[in-house]
Amino acid sequence: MTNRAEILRRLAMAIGFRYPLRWADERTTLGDYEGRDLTIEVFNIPSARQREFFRELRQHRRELQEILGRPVTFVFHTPQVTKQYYSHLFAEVHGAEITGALTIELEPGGVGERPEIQGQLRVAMDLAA
Amino acid sequence: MTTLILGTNRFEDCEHILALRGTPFLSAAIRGGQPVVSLTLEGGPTGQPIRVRENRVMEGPLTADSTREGRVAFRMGESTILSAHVQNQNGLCVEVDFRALGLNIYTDGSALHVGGATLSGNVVRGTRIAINVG
Repeated sequence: MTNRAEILRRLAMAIGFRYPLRWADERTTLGDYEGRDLTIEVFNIPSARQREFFRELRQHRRELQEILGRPVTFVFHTPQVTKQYYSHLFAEVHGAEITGALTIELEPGGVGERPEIQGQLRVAMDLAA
Repeated sequence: MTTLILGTNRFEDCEHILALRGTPFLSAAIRGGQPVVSLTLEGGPTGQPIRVRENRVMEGPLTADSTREGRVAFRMGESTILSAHVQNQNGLCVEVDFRALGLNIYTDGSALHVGGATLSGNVVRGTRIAINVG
């Protein structure tokens, strides 16, 4: 696990993409607190599932702490809160026409990044976004 | 050429519809008027490999139902994870819900949902992998 994107990817795979993940930044958090730089936000997760989430990631959290030297903080957002306050973060692709050897690239969590269309259409999508 | 409809998205002449980190995961076509589906998940989140090759379950806890003409479905326990039916000579309508496999990928009447992303009304033509996740 060498970089932050790879860490997210591995965690997302471990939970089967069930809950979108992203590193917290100024777009979603205000102020400062210890561990802000190592905070991962978990979206669309019902309160009743948060304990299970920690159970599933137990081994990964240990590994992360060893690599990073500090524990990762997780911030949970329920489906209701996600929809109300964070829907602007989620990737959406509607009505695109993609022809040729192009692939729609999606981040595992589907948040934090716009969907990426490889090749020329990527430019068109970025401009339209 | 096969046209696939998946959550209001149209895929024309695409070798694979979905891939996970570059590894093809789902492909579907029409052959002899019958849907032909392949599905490969190596050590997915549930830890169990799934392998369906041309409608035959080679590995994993899936059961196939291809008794109806022009339609095929795969179930895991009570959950239907994939169903495909031929709409016309070259059109195949595919519905998926891979949440039982631990993957948050599913279709509903309006879109294909992948993780937190929503895709609807898109047309993808002539590519090897239409959507890659991760």
